[in-house]
Parts: sequence; C-alpha cells; structure tokens
Amino acid sequence: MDVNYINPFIAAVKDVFTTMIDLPFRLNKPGLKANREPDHEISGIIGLSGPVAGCVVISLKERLAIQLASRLMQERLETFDEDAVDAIGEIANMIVGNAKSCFPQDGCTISVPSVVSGKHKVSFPSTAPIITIPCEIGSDQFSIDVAIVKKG
Amino acid sequence: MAYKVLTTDDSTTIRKIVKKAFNGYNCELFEAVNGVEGLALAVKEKPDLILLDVTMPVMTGMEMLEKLKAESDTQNIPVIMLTAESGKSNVTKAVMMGVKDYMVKPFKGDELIERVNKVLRLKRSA
Repeated sequence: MDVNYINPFIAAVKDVFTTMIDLPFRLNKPGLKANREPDHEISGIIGLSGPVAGCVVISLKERLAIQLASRLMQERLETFDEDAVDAIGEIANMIVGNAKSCFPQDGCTISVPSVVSGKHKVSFPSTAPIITIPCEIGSDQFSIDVAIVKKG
Repeated sequence: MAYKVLTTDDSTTIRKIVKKAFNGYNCELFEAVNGVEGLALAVKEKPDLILLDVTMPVMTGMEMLEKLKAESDTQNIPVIMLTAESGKSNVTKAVMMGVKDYMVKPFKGDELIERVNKVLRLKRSA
C-alpha cells in the first residue's frame, strides 16, 4: 500500500489523541498485519467508498475503550455502555474523516461508524492488504487496521 | 438574551462535548440526531445558530443544509459545520451554500466557543 494512504492515518491518530483524548500515547511502525482477525475484543469500524474503498478498524480492549471514552466525554464511565460505544465510534469517525482529507485524491465518502464487542470477526475486503498501525497507551496496546484499495 | 443553538449530530459524544463547551454561556441548547430531526427543530425553534455534522444516518448534514437554504424561513439561520469530513469538495460545497464556518473534528471546546463568538455575542451567564 502506498504510504500516501497510510501516513494520513498516523497524522490523524496523533491529532485526535492530542486534541481530544489528552493521554500520552505512542505510535509504532506500521506493518502488514499477519492475520485477518481483530487483535482485541472491541472494534470501531468505518467503511470507505469512492476512489479509495475498504474499511478501517480501531481494535482495542474493553478497559482501554472505557478509558478513552471517559477522556473524550470528560466524564467517568464505569462500563462499556451505550455512551462508550458511541465514543469509540466517534474516535474512529474522526480518525478516518481526517485521514481521507489528506489522501492524494478527493471524493471518498465514509460510512457512519459501527462498533462491535465480544468475540467477533471483521470482513476486511479480500483484495486489500491490511496495514496495522500499532499504538500504546501506558501498558495497553491497540491498533488501527487499514484495509483499503485504490480504484481505477 | 439567551441564544438558541441547535446541534445536529448523530453522536451522543459530540452533543455532550458541545453542551459542556456552552455551559455557563447565554445559550439554550437544542439537539437533533439527524438531518430530519434537525430540520424539524430548525423550523420549530428558529435557532440563532446551527452546528451541523455531515455524516449522519437518515438525512446527512449536506442534505439538511440544502433544505435549510431552500426555505425562506430558515435560509438566514447561521450554520457552522462541525464535522470530521474535511475533504475539499465538502468544504467548497458547504461554503458555496453559505455556511458561516467549517470546523473540523477533532476540536477543543474553547476553540468551538471562539468560532461561535464570531457569529453570536456570547456572554457568561451570571
């Protein structure tokens, strides 16, 4: 995958976490994902269509999801409830919305977010390699999995 | 005088963040979760400002904006787009349709207030 379509996600993750989450985080080097399974039990999923199509998944553990949702909403959440689900969807939405604006071409549209929890699979597009961006907050790891293809 | 501000966004999270940002200011907040609800509230309440997301189910923000601008009783309501959709085509289209500002998420509450202050004269409530 062309770095011009991966670097925007790295910049967007930094922007979202710095502006609205305000927790120290670390991004590690992106690489090809070895399997096609989500790494953790919660996935925030956004679909892309248009000249670049596919999906992007933020995969994280429930504990971290609650922590991020609490930071974003500026209120303490105790469980992975409806508010936390909405917050994880919104984090995914902001990351993908920002990233796509930095793609070399305009005209992609994004879906409303879906959030899945528990044991699950994500149907990544079969023709797209999955590039994973490993991230860390404290001792918790999460990942941004990008599976997109250029059309035409 | 309290301003009426209508937030139209499908995300509870964003609506809560907006509400907290306006806390203590002379504003009455109204909320809608999609363009259809937003349009109905705009007609009913005649808000002084609409904060409008783009990607929403049922009716998108761009569709709602078109309908607002097509009706004489809503076309002059100031609109600030507040969205993660920052593609050139969206921004150009919204600006051409007369929005007052185009604010891209992520955002901080005080940044939102600063942008709103260019449209309304916000005051801290006593």
